Amino acid sequence: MSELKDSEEVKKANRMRGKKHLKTTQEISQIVKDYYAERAEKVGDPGQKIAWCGVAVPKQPMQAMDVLAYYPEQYGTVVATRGNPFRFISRAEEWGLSREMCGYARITIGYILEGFPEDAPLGGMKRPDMLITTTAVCDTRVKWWELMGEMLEVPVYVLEAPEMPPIGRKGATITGGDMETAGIQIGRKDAPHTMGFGGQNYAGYIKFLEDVCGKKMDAKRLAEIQKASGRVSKIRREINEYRKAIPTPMGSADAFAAMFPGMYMPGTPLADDFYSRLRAEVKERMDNKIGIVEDEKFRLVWSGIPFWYNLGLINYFEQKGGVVVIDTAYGCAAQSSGNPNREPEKWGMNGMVASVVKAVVDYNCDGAILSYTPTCRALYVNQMEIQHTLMEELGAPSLLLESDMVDPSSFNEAQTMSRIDAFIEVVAEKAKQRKWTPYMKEQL
Amino acid sequence: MSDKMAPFREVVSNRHEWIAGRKKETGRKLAGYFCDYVPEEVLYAAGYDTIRITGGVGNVEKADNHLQSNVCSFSRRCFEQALQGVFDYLDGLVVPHACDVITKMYDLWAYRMESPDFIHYVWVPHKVFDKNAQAVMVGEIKRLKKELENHLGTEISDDSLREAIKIYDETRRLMKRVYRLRASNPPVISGRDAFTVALASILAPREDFNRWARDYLAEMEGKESSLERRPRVLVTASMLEDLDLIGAIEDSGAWVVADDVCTGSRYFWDEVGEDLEKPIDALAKRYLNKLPCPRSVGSMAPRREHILSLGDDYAVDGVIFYILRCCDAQLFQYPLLNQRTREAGHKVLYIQGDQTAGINEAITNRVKAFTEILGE
Repeated sequence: MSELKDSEEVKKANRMRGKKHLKTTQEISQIVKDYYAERAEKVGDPGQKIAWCGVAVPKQPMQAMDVLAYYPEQYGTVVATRGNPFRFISRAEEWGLSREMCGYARITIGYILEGFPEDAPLGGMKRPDMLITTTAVCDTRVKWWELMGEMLEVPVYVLEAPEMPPIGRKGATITGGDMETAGIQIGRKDAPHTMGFGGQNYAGYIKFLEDVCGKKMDAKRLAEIQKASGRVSKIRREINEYRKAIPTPMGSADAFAAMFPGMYMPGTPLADDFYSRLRAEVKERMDNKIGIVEDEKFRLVWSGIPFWYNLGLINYFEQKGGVVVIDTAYGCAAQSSGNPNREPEKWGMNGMVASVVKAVVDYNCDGAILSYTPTCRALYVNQMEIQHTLMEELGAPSLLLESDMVDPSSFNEAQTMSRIDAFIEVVAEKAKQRKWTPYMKEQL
Repeated sequence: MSDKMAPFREVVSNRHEWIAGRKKETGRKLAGYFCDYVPEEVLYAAGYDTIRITGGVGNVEKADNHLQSNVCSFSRRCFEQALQGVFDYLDGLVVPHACDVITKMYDLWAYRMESPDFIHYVWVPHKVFDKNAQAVMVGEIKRLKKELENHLGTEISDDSLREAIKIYDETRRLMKRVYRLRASNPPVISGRDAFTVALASILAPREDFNRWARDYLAEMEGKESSLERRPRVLVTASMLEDLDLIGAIEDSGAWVVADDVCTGSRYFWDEVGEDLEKPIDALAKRYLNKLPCPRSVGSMAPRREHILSLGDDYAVDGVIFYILRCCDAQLFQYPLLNQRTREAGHKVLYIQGDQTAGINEAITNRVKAFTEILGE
């Protein structure tokens, strides 16, 4: 692919960069830069270990062992938003990875094949001493991590989390607590051995870190980090609770950026400080009824991974008087859950379907945008069922939008915008005739 | 051509009608299962004949309402047939934790379909070689047994499990002998016949299959080959139920003499064995340590070893990777496995499979070109 075509494609793809509305979230770009800069600075320190991790791997044990982590999926978003994804994607495809495979994986494998170039966005990910992933959410990563292990000749740990379907044939039941894990059920009471296996895998993860780092885990320090991390999670739940307000004081255009400290540095003072200030800002906006849009006409949930090179799509709904209030892939737990006047009979075939249906209820939404990345099976194998269940149980419309999360060549702008316009007409009309009353926890 | 092949051909080519008819004759219950990680022996001991769920080749219409085109054509075809009522003859269904997509077969079937009345999910670890895997697999087999006992109101004894294991192990031994008929050069039987027998082994009731296979081997073992010498091919794939692929390879002038396929050698290569004091422990050990599906952690090395060792034993000239579109586990292993296979001296062809399209002219032409290269 020529340099010229590369630059034209990138320019086109970056046409719809996301616009953040809140003051605090403007800091994220610098926080991400600092995160990578800190790693680049420390990489040569004696004894410093580097890990490449799957996003759902518990971070706190690594923090307690002073392991510096990179997250290839997150780095895929960095390349998609700040660089030229074609450079690595095309390299991986030439090597033998198919276009139908995970875009994050193709970027990472291409980056390895390119030899960890220093001119990669934010300086790239430094060569790892270990690779860690989990089976939670997606088992594609198991194969991706094993492939990297063979290519890089470093040890790999797979933290296996036994995901179980609901008991019986009536589908999932779901509580507010389940929203912390996007409805994914690890282990089941009638299969206690699965929970035991999950526990053994967590213990194995600690042992793996100890072996690679050549030192014992400091249990006291880990407990402190977990406590600090728990406090950050609590603040994030409070922020989400405020987002239920009409008009919503914070939408997903800000939240997709704001998730970074919570997801990648949960037990740190920086994350605590960031979310404390964000909470204050969101609360102030809520108390003063300052919405993302002036006259909020409809409210949406975003299900799935956003198109990182095109986050401006989220803002497009705002131009039409609507707002994407919440997303379900990166933590949509709040302080409370449920709406007594909007309770479906069934929540759908599994917990992941149920989590989207519940988000529509909990966040007083009228419909949902269901992103569809054809290269990802784990998240998107549920999307049609989410669409059916939303309509069957809540009469809520939804729109399937197709594009890869990091490969802009898959995005058809004209077709996408025309489908969005048609959907907005439907959902705005539906919102005018709500047959349910919005609900929020009274003490807020 | 032996007429002892006739029953295998009939069950494969006319599988659903044949199976439904046979069920009426035997009066036994019938349980379907996905993939090769479900311990069929437990179902058999509970009184079910077992049948592997296959997708066949054809269009997808009804299932498009539930699964998008980024899901493999095998799964979409299976659910298409379920919605059409093709599997209405089933009394039970067991779905294992194989990959993300097969897992959703359970979710969809349990939630959207009313039959069969017994449906069960077996969680199988990805880390099949992990030291803790045995305990969780034993737990899952016991849970399956208990659910069956609750559903049927009868106890499944250790003796009935032992009996089932012996019958299924006999199938495995018979299948290995059928495969050995292609070790000679030229082979005694074609790849098409061997794959037909292998497919019948996952479709037909056990007693029927074992009887047919014994009769077939009695006629074929020790027989001189009447076939010509040709280049020899190994096929590696996940599901391979489209025998048109084998036909295309053999019509182009090669023999398919071996495979690394979950409807072929991976299904029967490993036995449970003689130590049956604790039959559930023995089953767990067998299913964890069998030739692994690419989805399993640590599967690359045994797969590579299996392919290369078959390459030696069966004097293979070329290897064909037949990978269903969107099968992530296979696709991630392909680049390095391809590299290692070439390093071992084999020529390699990659074919993207699609059970909604079948074997088209483009594939046939590529196979012909590959066979010509092998013959040079």
